[in-house]
Amino acid sequence: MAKRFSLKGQWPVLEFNWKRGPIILIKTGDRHLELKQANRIEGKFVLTKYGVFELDGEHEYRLSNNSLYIFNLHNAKPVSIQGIEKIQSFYRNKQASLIVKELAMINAALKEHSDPLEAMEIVFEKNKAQTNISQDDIKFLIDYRTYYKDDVGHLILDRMDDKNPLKGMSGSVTAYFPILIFAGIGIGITIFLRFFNPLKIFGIGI
Amino acid sequence: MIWPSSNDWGLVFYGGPLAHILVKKNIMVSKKIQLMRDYFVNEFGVFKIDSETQYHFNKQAIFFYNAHDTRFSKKIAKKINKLYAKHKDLEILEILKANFKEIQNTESIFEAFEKIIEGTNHYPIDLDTDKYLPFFTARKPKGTKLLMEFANQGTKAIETLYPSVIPKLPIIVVMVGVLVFFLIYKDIPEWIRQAQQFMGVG
Repeated sequence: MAKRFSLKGQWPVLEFNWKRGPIILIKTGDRHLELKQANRIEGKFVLTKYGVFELDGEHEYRLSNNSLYIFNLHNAKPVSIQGIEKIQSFYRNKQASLIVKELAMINAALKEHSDPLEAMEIVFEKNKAQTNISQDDIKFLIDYRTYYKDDVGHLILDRMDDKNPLKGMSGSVTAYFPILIFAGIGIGITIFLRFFNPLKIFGIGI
Repeated sequence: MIWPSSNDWGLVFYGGPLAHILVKKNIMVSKKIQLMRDYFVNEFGVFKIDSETQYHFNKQAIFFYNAHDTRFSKKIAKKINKLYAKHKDLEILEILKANFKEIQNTESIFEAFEKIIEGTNHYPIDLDTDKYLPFFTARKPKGTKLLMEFANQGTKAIETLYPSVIPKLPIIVVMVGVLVFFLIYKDIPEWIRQAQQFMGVG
């Protein structure tokens, strides 16, 4: 496993406590995570080099005294830990067909009804007979079925690569307090030794 | 500013595997992982790790879990970790059997861990929604319109930007520079005098 002691590159615990929030965690590459300090646009959206994400308070988590939103790169909505866990449990228990059926039902309702309220009414009405999937799970599926921002992200990515758009962007969160604390200890010892000679204890020197 | 908890201070210099555990509805806690093959134990219960759900923040391994409101004695969890380091599996099994009814017939600790996890559902959570919900192609027109508006605003704003001419100095370099200056500034006049003597100016 990985090394235990680290000065740089570890999870920024103190930054989480002391930075203003919210902080967003984005799953970028294959099993790779990035942290960003969110600069809110109109209180609801966040612009990063990967595109625009939506801050939805329903899926906000509290970690180390700060707000945390978890995103997958391909969805503008934050990930619900409970929702995705439930779906994985269906896969684990060989009940993935339930999810497929529900998604198909949501699809059909969206196609048949242009009014979202009518579509939702049909979806929730049909779901009443289901015992395995709760209405909260259905809501999670609807959220993920109807919000998607793939093209929006790509629209701004190319131009961002050419320039240096620092202003207004959500910056990354890296751990720098551990190095500062370590350096502080070292410098403190140096200053202490400057005024106090430890050899005096043993009667050596002047 | 809120002072970090003792758990947070314990993670400041920690670069090993880390578990983010959802302990209440939206409260997450970061915990160190002390591995026992594919399992680990802490005060929230027994958890399983899976290489498929091992995320990386730089080089640190990160896992996500939901504790499902389960609690375990902190003292017992510490004791189990210590006993595992000493290879005392039988003692661990005894402790587990005393605390969990469903594992009375198990013969190894890993079999017992697996059974406990089956009951508590402490499997790692995969954030990869694409893997489990593979076809999100439809859009909510209103939501997409709103996002497009913001994206257009962003594109216009980017057009007006230009690359920074003066590179930014990292805060650590600045702080170290200031501290070094404070350490040596008293010696600087002496050094200048010596340099002048050396050059025969003074």
